[in-house]
Amino acid sequence: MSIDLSIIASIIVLAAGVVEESADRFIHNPEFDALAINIWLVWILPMIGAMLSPLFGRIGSRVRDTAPAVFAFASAVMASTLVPVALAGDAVHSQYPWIPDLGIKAGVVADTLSIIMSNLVAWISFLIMVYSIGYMKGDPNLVRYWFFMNFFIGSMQLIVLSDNLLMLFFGWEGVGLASYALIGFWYRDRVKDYVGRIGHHAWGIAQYTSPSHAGMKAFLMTRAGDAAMLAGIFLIFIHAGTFEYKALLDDPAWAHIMQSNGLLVPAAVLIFVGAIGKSAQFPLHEWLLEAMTGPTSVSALIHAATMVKAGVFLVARLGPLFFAVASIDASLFFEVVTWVGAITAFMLASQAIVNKEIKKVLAYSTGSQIGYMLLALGVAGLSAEFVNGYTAGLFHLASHAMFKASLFMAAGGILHIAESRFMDDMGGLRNHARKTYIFMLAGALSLAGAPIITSGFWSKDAIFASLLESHYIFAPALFWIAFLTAMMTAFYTIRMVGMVMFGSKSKHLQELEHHGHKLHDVGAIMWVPFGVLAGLTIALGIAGPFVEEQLHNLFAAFLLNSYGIESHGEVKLHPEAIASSVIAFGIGSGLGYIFYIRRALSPEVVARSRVAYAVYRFLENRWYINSMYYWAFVIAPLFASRIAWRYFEMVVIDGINPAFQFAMAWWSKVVRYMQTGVVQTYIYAFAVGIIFVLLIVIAGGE
Amino acid sequence: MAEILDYTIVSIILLAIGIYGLTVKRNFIRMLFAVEIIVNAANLNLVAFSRLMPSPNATGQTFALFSIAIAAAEVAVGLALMIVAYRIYRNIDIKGLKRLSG
Amino acid sequence: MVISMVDLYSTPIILTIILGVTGLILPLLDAFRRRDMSHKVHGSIAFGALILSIAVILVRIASGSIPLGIVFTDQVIADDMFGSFFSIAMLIVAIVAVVSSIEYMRRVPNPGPYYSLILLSSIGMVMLAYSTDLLMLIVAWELMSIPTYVLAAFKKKDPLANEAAIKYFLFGALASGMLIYAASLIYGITGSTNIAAVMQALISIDQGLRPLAFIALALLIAGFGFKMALVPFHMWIPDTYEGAPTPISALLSAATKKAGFAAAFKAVIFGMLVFNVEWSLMLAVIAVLTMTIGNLAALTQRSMTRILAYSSISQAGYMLIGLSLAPYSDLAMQGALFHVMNHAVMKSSAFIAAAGIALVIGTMNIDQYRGIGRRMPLISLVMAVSLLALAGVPPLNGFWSKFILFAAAVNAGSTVSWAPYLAIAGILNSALSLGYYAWVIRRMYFDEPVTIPTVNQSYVYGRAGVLKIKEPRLILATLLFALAFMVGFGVYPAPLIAFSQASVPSSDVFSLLPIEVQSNIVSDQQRYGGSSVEMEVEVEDHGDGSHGSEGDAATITTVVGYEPSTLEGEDGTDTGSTNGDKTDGELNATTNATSTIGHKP
Repeated sequence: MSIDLSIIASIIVLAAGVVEESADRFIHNPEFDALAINIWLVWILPMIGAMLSPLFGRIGSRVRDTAPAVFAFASAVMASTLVPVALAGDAVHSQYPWIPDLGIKAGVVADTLSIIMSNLVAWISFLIMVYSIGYMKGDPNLVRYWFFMNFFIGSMQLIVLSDNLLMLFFGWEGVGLASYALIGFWYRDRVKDYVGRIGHHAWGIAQYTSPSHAGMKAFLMTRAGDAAMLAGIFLIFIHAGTFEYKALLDDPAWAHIMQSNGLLVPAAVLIFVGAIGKSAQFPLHEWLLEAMTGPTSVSALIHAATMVKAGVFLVARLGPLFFAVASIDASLFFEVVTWVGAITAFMLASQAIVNKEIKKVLAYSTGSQIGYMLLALGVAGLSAEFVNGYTAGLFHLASHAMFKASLFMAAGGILHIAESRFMDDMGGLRNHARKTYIFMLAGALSLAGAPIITSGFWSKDAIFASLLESHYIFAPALFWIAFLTAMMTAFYTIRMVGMVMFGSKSKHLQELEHHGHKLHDVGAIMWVPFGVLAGLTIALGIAGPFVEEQLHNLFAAFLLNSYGIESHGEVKLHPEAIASSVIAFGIGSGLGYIFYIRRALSPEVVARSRVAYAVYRFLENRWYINSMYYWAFVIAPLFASRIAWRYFEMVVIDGINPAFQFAMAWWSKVVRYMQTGVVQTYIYAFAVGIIFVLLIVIAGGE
Repeated sequence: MAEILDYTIVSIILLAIGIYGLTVKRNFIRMLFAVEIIVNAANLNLVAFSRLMPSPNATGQTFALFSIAIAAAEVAVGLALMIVAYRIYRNIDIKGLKRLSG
Repeated sequence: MVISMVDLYSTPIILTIILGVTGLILPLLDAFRRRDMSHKVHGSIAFGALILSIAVILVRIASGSIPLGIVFTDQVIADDMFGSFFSIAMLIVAIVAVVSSIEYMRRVPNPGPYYSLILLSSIGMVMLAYSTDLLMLIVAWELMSIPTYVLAAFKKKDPLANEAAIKYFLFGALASGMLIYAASLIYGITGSTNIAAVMQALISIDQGLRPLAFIALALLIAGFGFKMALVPFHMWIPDTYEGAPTPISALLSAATKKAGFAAAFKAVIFGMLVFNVEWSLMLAVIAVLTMTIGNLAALTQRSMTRILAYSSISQAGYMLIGLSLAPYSDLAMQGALFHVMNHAVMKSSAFIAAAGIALVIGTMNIDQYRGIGRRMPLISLVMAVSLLALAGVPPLNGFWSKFILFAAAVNAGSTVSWAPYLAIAGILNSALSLGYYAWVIRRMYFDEPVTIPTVNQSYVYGRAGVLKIKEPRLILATLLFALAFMVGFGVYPAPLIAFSQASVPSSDVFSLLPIEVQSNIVSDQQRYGGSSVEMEVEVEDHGDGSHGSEGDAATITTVVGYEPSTLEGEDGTDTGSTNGDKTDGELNATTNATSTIGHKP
């Protein structure tokens, strides 16, 4: 005990010293700007909160549970103080030298994009932290939970606020680590924490996962994306000599050099692969679905509102840069972005319409909606007016964050109420959980794009509009993909609401009631956060066109000031786009209504046809992509690795050297082993190695 | 020059014999012989070069003296290892050392 | 050839005296007692000697009296920054090994010889780093290696340790033989064992002697590669690291490997820079093979020390990237050195953490590591941090050194076409390595603890049912130091980067030839497709016609390149243009270095 106290005491003293030193440095910095501290605090405060979590854990359970939310709140307040800067179209920049020998500086920047994004992240995070207090009550591992939640928020803010690619990458890694830890939070792998139907296999691969497995999968998949991203960042660094956005923009010589080497688009695409990984787009989308093994608050925060948006943010940060610096040459990059977005949006929406777990439907939906955002951002680079697609994508980002977080939180509440994750086990809950029902309905309507009153409608409409206005040669095809996806989105959303809230109670629920478990709504600490967000999404919807215009102007100013991209023309309502949105909503939700609310027709009717059933299986098995990945990336390399250590010495070394066949034959008579461990093998390999080296040396010398 | 070549060829042959011995022989003492042979091949080289080079100097022979001493120390250690191994396994056959593998 | 008296005040000599005297005294402490003194006493004395040595080096560096980079003189050793860098890295590992041995080996008899051997081996390592002569190199190499053969077998009763030591010995003896043979060939070709003289002589070598030089080069790479864990000379490593006592494995993997690297740098690179053989491609190929095989084989291992052994193999591959690009990029070499220092700490701390865990649960099998994260929080934390650092995860120190290496590789792509592929291979391998590192971490933290029947009772306390584990104190101390190192230099790597840069400011070797050479060396017209190398040494004129005494400034101008150029002779006349019709010149660097004749105190 005394050792713990002394450790704590020394940490406090150390921290005090560090704080004093940094304060000293801050104040004596000639570029001291009062607002600059706030920017740093936005990401540093949650990190401090994370470090102190074990301490809070020792003090008491109330402190332990409320302190993290306090830190999140403080960080959010700091972010809010920056809003006036955004509204004025200004930017605040703060830098410190870090590694002088390599010319690397640590810095943060608060411009329109980062301020909007950071406020979004900060406030939604705060609401989810409050929600978690209620949702995670009673869990024995809360210290670890709060640590990683705060660490996550800090890292995410670092991504958003950093002014250079290197610190962005650090934050990127941080959110990846936090995500891994939180997805696998219930690592004891109890059956009820699994995702997927137990026993469901496709092509011999299990389609259900345990939390620890899902965590590892998420980590590895995003890691693959991160490796590519790092390579892209390196390429740019090598040519430009700097990581900072501003420096990259001010002196575009690097882009011209890279373009003449043919490296510009590959580098940009490599960085985008990192975004694909983090945002769960095709082909790295599989991890998101299985990430639902984590607590729902984690899913709400990380996999709906923030981390998966990091990829979109990256494109939003770098897209204008590439556009401003390389314009026509970079168009291939934008094409990649927009098509990846389109394909993902379509693919995941198609899988959502048959899925039976509520969180998985929401996960598919998230991936699909992010596809929309990338679609818009990509098409921005392919149009004459960059700002249209840009605004549309970011508007959808903000709007989606709000209603998706709300939907996830509501789903968490429903999981508590129904004690099952399968929608088959629910039904008729709207009478028992009125508040949840209302807020969920609001969020669902927004997701489906219910006309006029929901923010989802306006943001999706903006995307349609930008597609229609673009003169990109394939824009019509993109438009139709988006349209079909919108229909599917409306369908599965209404289906979800219908299966959960309408109809009669399932057998499972009836059993629960029979055992004395009364079905009641969730407590205030849980419904207030998602109620607030649901309300916001409606409010934004009602003020839709106004909000859109404001955003448009803000971003136009931002693009001009920060990137030198000019915008002409104004926002006008695009009748075709509105019509398409309404029609898509109408058809999709109409079908959903018929099948799942009115229960006029049973979906089984459709399933009787053989073709329809095959399609159903295809969609249910995730287009078999998951199974393909397992075969290619897990089973094959493990096999290769076993071969490597067991047979490399025997097979490869023996095979390499025809000149030693005689000696080998003789030697193999003496040593008849199937496994190594025998020194002869080693020394033989040594000798072979010498010959090998000699041969290469001679060959090189000629 | 031809003389040097003779010595060099002999030393290469010795080197080859040494490597052969290490690769093929299973008796630990024979392997120690092989190590000694390799070192002596090097020593032969050194002494021959020292004497018969275009501009001879004494460095080679000094080096050879050092090398002999080092080889002696090495073999001493090897023998000590062998004795300890003998106490455990009751033979000095390298073949038996395969508990660590993979 | 006259070998002048060695300066008794130079760092290597002082270190030899400190470590040697202590090393020789330690066994004597028990000579007249009936029972040996404990490991604690011997270990503390050894620890004191090592700390003193590091302090000496640091003081020397701080006083600014150590010349930067690598200095080649006609002495056998030279006190330079390169040597100091490696010495510090290796001595740190020696300290870690000693302190953890106090706890880990406390039941093993004969503590005196044990610590004494570690100290004597350290002398060998230090001398190796500072040596400038092939003979010195070989002697130091043997001095370093022979005690380690004994140390590996120190647990006499353990058959695994014995097997490990025998395999190590046989391999090591073969490698030493190769080295001596190669040295003899080089001696034969160039007539000298001094590295500076060797470089000079190799510039203008006879056509007929080239095959011999090739053989010598190949044997050198084999001999050094054995210690450096290059494929295909690596095969002893998994068995030896698994069987030997863990602190000794740490010493082997973190210290002797670096020594191999230092020796290779000196002997091979500089020699072959002169030779201009396309050997850097060969080294690059070996680097990629080493990284990949090490990582692949580690994926399915079950024993922690074996995983760390294969990991060492693949880390050597990363360092080799730097070595292979040394002729083309200073940054690559600096990155390699930086990685050397980082790896020394990371790997030794990982080994010691494994030792600490093994002390408590009695096994290295990672299946038994389940849930250790909760029971032994501090040790597991450091283990996790070490593994993440090895994988190159920011903000730990491993990330920075890998970053610099890969950046240098990509940068060198403008001169060498295959360099970016090295970077790609490196990045892919880093990602691959995370696979097995994360697996271990996962085992420690995210799996259910297994009831471990063989927990070493001396570390357990508490009531039955609420057993808590007291983590081994001394091991914890070393690990905390390593943790501070990894995290501290991860967040703020600038000092280490500066240190690496001071140690290898330039890979251009000719500025390092000894001052006594007072001649213009104009390269041979019949060079075989090689670079032309010219060197000019101008010594400040005293005004009375004499120059070349101590204290004079000398300017060495070296031009390495294919372009014709003119040089001025000593009296200001043109010495004519040089050769070089080839226009595909790659190297084209000019350096001007000013240094002062003679030693500084």
